[in-house]
Amino acid sequence: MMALELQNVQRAYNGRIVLDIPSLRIEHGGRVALVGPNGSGKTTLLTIAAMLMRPDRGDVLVNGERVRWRFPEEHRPYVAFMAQEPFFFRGSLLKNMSFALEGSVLSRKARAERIRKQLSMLGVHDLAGRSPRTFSSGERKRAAIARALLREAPILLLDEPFSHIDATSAAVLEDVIGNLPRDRTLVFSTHDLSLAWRIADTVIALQNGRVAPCTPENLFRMVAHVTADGSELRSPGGIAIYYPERLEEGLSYWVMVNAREVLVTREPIESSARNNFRGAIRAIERAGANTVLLTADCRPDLPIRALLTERAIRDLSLNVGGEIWVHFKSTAVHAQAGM
Amino acid sequence: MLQAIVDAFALLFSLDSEVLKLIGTSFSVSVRSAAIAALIGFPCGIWFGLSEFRGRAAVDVILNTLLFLPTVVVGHIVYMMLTRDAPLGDYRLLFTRTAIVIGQVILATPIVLTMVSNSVRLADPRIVSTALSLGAGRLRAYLALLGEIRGLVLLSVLAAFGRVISEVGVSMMVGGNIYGKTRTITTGIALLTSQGEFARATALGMVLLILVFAINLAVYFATHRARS
Repeated sequence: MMALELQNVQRAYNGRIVLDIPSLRIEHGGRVALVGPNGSGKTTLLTIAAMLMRPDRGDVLVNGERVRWRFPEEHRPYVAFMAQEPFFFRGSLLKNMSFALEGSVLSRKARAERIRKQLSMLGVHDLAGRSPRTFSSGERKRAAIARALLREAPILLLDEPFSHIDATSAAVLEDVIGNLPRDRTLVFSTHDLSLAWRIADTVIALQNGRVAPCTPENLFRMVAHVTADGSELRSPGGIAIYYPERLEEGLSYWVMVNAREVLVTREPIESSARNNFRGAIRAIERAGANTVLLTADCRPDLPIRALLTERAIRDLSLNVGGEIWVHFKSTAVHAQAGM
Repeated sequence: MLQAIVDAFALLFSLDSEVLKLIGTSFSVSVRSAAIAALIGFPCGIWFGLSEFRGRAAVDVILNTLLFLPTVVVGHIVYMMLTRDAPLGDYRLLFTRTAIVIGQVILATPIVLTMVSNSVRLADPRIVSTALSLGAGRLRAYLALLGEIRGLVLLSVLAAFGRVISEVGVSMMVGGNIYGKTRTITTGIALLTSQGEFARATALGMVLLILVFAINLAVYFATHRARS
């Protein structure tokens, strides 16, 4: 049984479909990151999953049970949600925290203890008496997450928990979110891919309201030119990526290359990969227990990211600034028009 | 005019039993009317403020029209409903305080409803969703919403109260201006004026103004303190 499931969910605004998910299944205890550009449908998906917005069609299943939209409160106790810009009621943070525990079976003492524990964990205990409306952006996010965690709902949905916050808050949040008990399911959205890989077991990329074929480490806007055996997708600077199918001549496409399918070498090699570029390493970021995300600037204007193991980085002695070659097959390229 | 003000204060603080009776009747009916209007207007205002439906603009126009209902028209309609041969005639409510309350509720409810629904529409849309996401049921979420806009909500009740305590048409037509029973400050003023007792009528008018001013002041300080 899945913790959360979306089946044929569709939502439109002003006649434009902003979310179209044929199927999305999230297991109990899963750690899922939603990534994608602004307007890709992350917030809509999370809001529907939190049962705060009804989809135009399709079903949401919580713990295997279909949500009845006339009575979403039946399933809301299982889900905690934090909005991208969290709202706080008038009054102190303590009062806001107490709101989340109203109606709970806990004794007054137990409630106070749980609130104290959550606030301390997020490092905002000293602010309990102040109104969250006077907090900095990072403090507000930490307070909102403390509030969302308070009910200990089995499913936690966080919309952009890491946006607009300072480094201290980011570190605290990463520690708390990354170390959630395994009996709780986490779905969060972020723009930070390396952070997504660090925290999540699964990274789902959304593009134009749909689940993209791969994560968007390498997402480019390119123009198609038809060739004898497929297409060339050209960047504004003139770099061409080979694509095995014939696209529409002159049309602009979103082009995605799966970072897991990018090969990195120190020297040029002969292989079946049709896309081979020389570049300089711009960054090497941790992206999980043993994986790193390497960004190479391929001249003139194509930053290509590759997901590698730490061992590969060590074995190849790769350092920032070093020259490398990146390779990927044309079948690793995905192109979508009309976005 | 100055003499009228002096007389008004003298009347108010002399604890004149006749004046106290009028004040008592006025407050008795107007507080009940405003309270009932709030009970109807709050939930309807929240629902109307949060709902999107076809024909909403038409309902808006009708509600705004109801804000300007002439009191004598309401008095006339309620009279026709309560007179002995009318549908509600058997209840013998005509010329009672209950009759005045019925008429005043018709006057006050559109005020509360419109002001609450407008406040809800202008309120932060995240209030209800935040409450729901924190485990609140719909009722508690709506109460949280009212709590966030409580200054405007209080103002709506105050506006409704101001409308009904100062009206004369309903009170006169369905109350009957019976001394000790249904005579209010406003119908008392009307009667005194028709009897040529202008100074006493003016003084009673000043009493009404002073009382309404005092209530406004109390509400101002209450909301000001809540805001700070």
